Amino acid sequence: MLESLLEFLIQGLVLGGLYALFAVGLSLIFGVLDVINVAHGEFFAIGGYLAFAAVVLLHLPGALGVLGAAAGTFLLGLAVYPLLIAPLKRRLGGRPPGPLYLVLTLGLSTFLQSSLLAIAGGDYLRVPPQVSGILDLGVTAVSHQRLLVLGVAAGLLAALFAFLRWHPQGLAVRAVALNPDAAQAMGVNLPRIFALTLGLGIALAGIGGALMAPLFNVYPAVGFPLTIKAFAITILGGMGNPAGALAASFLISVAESLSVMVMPSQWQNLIAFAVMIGMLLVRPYGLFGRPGAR
Amino acid sequence: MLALDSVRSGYGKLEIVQSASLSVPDGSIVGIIGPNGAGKSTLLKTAFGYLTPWAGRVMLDGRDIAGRRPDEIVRRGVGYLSQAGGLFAEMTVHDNLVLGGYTISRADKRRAIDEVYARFPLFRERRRQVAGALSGGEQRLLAIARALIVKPRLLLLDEPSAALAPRFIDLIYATLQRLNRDGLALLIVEQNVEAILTVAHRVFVLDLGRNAFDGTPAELRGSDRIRRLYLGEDEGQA
Repeated sequence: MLESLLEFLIQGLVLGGLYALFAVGLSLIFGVLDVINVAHGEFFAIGGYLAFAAVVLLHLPGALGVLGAAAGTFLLGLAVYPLLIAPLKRRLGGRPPGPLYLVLTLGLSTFLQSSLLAIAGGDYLRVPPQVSGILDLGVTAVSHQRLLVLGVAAGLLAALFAFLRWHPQGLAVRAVALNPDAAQAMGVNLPRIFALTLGLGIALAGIGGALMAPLFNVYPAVGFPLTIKAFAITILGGMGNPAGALAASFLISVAESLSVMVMPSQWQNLIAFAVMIGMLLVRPYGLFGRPGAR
Repeated sequence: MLALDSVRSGYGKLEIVQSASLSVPDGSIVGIIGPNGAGKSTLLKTAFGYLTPWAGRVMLDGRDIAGRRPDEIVRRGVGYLSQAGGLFAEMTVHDNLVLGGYTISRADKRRAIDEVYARFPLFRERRRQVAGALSGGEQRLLAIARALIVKPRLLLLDEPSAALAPRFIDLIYATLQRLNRDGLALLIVEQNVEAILTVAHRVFVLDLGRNAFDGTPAELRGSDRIRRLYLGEDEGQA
């Protein structure tokens, strides 16, 4: 019993690292730009494909695959604001966008998925692990690749929160999330901060895709279920609240993982969505949000 | 320094400022008053780049800055204080001041923040508290102190006395006058007519988005028509 508990707990923590990489970026983007990025999962898939290209096609070391995925998805993320969101914003003038940003990123999601299908085909691709081996904990064992996912996620998220807390650009990102007009009066260049936020948030998803590629197979729609689950996580944590998303990622992942001890595993995926629906009905601003906050 | 020439502006398709002109000479205090909905705040937002003028020119030091973003205008030495002060209420007092120095070097920022702490010891004591925990008057003072970190040459203020107790209104205006004596030019939109007439060198009255008066506070006080129409005074009252 104790062995199973520990094993499922470790699995839950690893899964939580992945969820957090994904959901914190999604939540940050929503908080700063007020845009729900439905295409987030496709950038996760692109991260996986970039890792595949680096490691399998170019025979580069696994670490370079992850770095390539980070750089590639960061650059793609930087381009999303000036190429897609800013032109729509200009067209709208001062009018509220309504659901248009959601529709825009839904279109981007479909476009990217179709592009991946056209370029790489629909086959499931395998990427060798960046690290091999198993750590024996006595009561259970965990692969080095899973520990790598957890360690990199912890390091990156700690770096992100330190950046938001202490770096002038990180402070500017938070300021824009709180009050974009006042941030502009401080001299903050909004388009630059919007692009930077999308770059960072999307790069986190891309790195997640590269790290998880050896554990999942890579295919065009690999990230879509994660996007949907990340919506549940961000609602639980409070929309636009990256710290809330971090905590909610581990709450959901550990709950999902431990649930298989008391219920059939096919119910596992329902937990996040049951929590999401329940939260929306009872506390729509999330566990860590406040009424009125975005 | 700043000159607005025949500016038209508004929100979406709604024209608020129909044709307004004014100028702010170096080192002066200029007030904008007028009834609610006259376009005072809209004109200020247009001068600072939050709104792009539909027509007319916004000249700063002889160069047209119409259509420039606020962050570009900040870098040309102009600061802006919104009606609510524009503080980041969930951030600490110190972080608000750090953001005030976003456009300057780290060393200059540190020096300027130390100056703020020396001038307002209250903010040093409460630097780790969130700005939203300060009283309304303290928040307004912090917003002014924050705007001064980059040492602007011109500060635009939208109703600096709004919703403040008389004690704080006096304090805010005393602070603004002291800053003006040090060379800072001020363009102030104000509903509190007495407060602005006491300090301004020149006053513009806006009505329905157009200039209705332009002169010194003494000239304004001497105009029965203006007093009656815009200051809500009966004849012979003043």
